[in-house]
Amino acid sequence: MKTVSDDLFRLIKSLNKSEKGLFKKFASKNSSGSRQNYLLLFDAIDSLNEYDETLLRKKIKDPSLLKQLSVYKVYLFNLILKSLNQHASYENSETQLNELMANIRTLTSKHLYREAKKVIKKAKELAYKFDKHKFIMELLAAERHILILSPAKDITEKRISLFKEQQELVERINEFYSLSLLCDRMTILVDNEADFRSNENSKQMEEIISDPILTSPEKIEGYYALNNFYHTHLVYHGAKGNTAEIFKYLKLQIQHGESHKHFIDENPQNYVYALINLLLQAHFDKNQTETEDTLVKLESIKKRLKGKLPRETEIQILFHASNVEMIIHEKNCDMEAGRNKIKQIEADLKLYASEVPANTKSLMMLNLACFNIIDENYNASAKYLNILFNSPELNIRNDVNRVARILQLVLHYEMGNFDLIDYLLVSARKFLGAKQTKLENLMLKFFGNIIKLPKEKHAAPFDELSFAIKRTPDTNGMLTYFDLVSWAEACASGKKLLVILKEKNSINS
Amino acid sequence: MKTVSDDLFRLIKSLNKSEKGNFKKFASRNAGGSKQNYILLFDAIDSLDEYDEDLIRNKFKKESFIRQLPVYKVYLFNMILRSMASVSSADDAGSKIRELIDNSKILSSKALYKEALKLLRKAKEIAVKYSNYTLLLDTLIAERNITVVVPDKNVSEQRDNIYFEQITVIDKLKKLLEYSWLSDQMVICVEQKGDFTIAERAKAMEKIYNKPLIANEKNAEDLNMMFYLLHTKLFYHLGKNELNEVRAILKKELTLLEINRHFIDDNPRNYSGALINYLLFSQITGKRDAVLETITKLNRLRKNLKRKVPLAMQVQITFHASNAEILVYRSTCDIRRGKNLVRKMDELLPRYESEVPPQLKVSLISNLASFLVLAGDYKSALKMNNKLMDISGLSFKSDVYLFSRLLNLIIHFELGNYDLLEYMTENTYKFFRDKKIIHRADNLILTLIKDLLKEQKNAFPALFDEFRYNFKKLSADNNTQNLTAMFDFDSWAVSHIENIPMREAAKKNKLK
Repeated sequence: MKTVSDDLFRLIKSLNKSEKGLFKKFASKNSSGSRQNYLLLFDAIDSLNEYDETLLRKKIKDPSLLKQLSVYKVYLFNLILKSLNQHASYENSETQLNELMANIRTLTSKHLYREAKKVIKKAKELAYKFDKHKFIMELLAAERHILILSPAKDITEKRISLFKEQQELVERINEFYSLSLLCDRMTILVDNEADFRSNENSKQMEEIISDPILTSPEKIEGYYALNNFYHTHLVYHGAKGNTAEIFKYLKLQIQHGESHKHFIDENPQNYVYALINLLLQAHFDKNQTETEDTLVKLESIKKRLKGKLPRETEIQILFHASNVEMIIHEKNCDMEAGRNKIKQIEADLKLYASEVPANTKSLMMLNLACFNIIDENYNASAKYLNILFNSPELNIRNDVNRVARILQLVLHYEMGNFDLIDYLLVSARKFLGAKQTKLENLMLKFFGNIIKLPKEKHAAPFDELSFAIKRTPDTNGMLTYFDLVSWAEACASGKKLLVILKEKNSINS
Repeated sequence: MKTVSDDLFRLIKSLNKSEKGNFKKFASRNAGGSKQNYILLFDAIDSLDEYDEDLIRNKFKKESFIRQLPVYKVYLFNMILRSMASVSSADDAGSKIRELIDNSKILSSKALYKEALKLLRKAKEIAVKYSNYTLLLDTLIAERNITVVVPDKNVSEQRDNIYFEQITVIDKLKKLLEYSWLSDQMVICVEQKGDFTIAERAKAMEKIYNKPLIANEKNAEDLNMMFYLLHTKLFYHLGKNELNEVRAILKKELTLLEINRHFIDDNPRNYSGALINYLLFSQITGKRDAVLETITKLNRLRKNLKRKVPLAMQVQITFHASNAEILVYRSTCDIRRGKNLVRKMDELLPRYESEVPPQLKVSLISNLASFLVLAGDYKSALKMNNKLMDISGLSFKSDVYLFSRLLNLIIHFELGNYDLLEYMTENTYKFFRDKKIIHRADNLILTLIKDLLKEQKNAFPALFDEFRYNFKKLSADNNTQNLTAMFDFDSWAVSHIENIPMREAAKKNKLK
């Protein structure tokens, strides 16, 4: 059973050095006489590798603390959150609006209505500028409260106008929720359920994209709603492989961001991701001008925002960009650049540790494993796959894990661990379950057969495999992660995988 | 032109002793090297009776910061507000929900999604309990963000469920806004433009009252909607002077609150307001048992609230209760207690000038002025009524304003200022006539004063007798009822007919 102790342990372990320092300062100032106990408990838990209450009790010698340990744990959990809350005050529109809301409450409680109305006006401008529905709603409520308490000459007209504004806001929120749902549905279909080429999912995708609200962007008012509009179309065309449309919607998304620069300054994530995706797309499309332009934009935004963003946003952008770079190096067969990038990623992983979002990290592990198979650094590849399988928090991406199971078989084949493959097949079948895709099924059957044959008789089955893969639908996009066709061809021909990939690259260019 | 100086001056003047102390501590901690300047400026402004920039500049002419005075003033204004926010012990449901959402965001940023969801569940429970739809939507957005970042097997279903919840909440929010709109329309009709005898306004009131949301109580889906509904009905009956119905609605509101005590703990102001109003209307409608029971409840609430609610709220509760009290003393002709209360209000009103809501202030001063006439203290009544005319107007509490103009004539008559009265009566008559707001009762009062000025003293009883006869004959329209509720014209007439103090006449009338 999960208890508060697990939560507390996980929370303490998730803190970085500076946050731990800040907590200690905060606790010394804010927890009165018992602060020493909180600090003791904090340090004791921090020193554990996994949560062990018996060990913890041994470490804590103070009987008063031991007696009320469960109470202290709950309080410590909340105290840590409070300290993080206080120091997370990097300036953005929400922190500004929260401060303005507090000022409005103070001024209203003092019946300084004129002054409160002035602050409301300022706050409303900011809330509309940043499309902050919750704040607009609260500000309208505050405005109404003052209007009724201190009636003006034209009270009826003012109240009518407030009611209209409230109704319009409700419509705007409705619009946002509808587009957000459609965007999420499309993303879930494509990203998480991945078999979007199946009839059922394909039908669902068509249903989503033909929703009337997705037909024209002209009537969409909110910034985020319009962003969702473009993103839904982007994901749809991405799944369909319509390159021209992907370019169109990526560019629209980027233009949308650039015409609302204040949103980029505040939350550049969507904009930067769109740039990264455009970079990737331009690279695959061998559109040199677009690639260069996008790189310039990316560099410029990185410089502009350095130090201005919360740490978690910087980390997310950093790892997302690194992921894309790894993919580019892999597709270009630029092993030297890839190896250098891996060194940097390793350093970043060490530096940011638990702060790297799990979904980004799991994708990163898979990409690193793929690259290292091509680079014939099998131990490194095994290391990344082991991290992926053995870290419970990285299990969140089902699509990544399914590909990783097959990749694990490829890796151990390359390492010659045929005995192990027999065992791994059992676990892979169990993991992939009854709903295997055709490609997964093909690969599992292939590995089941190949290990029964002597090595010298492997070429022909690999030749057959490459032929079969080409004919099998890749419904969960496995081949975008690892080129199984080229790998089969390499094994069939006795050539290195890297050589085959380079040959194909030169033919394509 | 209003400048930041006015705002700053008003803000500093609105602070109580403890808030001033807190500001100084806060400034010493947070204003870096220049903290002394802020505190000096704060003290200098605080020492003024009205804002005088030249005086400030003169006082600090040797200080370098005076060159940047406008900047310092803006910064000081914001710093005072920050200091107040830092010590405000808001512990209401909204603050708790906000804290839980903020904490869940921190946990999400640390990828502690399960823990974050746990907090969001708590936040949702509170938001649902208090029907706080704005924050409930915020909670759902946070839940959506986690659901899509950490998708599990049922992600599609979960996402659809969140959307369904969002749409359900939006519908409720829409409905709540409509209730608030209807309630405010009724309040505006009755309270702010109290002169609702105009046919269109009465029609508007009926229209609001018959709206399905108000007419059918089953439409109110939560307590907040129900309170708006009751509030609308309350003002409707108040506007029609149906005081027993007003009392019954207040009783219903109190019962609802007492069943849902968490609403009282979260915002005791609504409960105390309902109690005070219930006390008042129980007194007016002669329900003695209810008066005693409500006083007991009010005292219990005051005790419970001490140290639990901010001073501003305590002050408001005090003034509301005093307004109810003066009405009770006027109605029972308890001059001794009433005069004590007037003395107390004379002391407290200037001290808490900015803390008392304008409507309450107007109502309280009007009742105090009427009481003072009853008590025969015309000089104090004149002072009070002048104040009333200053703070009310045709656009705000017009019914009280028009009454204060009539009361003004009565007070000057009682003071024997006949020379002044002649001019004033003509002026008041023209005002009523030009604005086309003269009603039969107003006309009777103005005619009486005019006639009194033309006659010798010995003819006064006959004129008052005639006035009394005609006043009684008036149909009980809303304007007459309103005027009668604000001042006992009958007892005033009897006092002159029988040549006895008004309080004696009122007592006699009461006995009858």
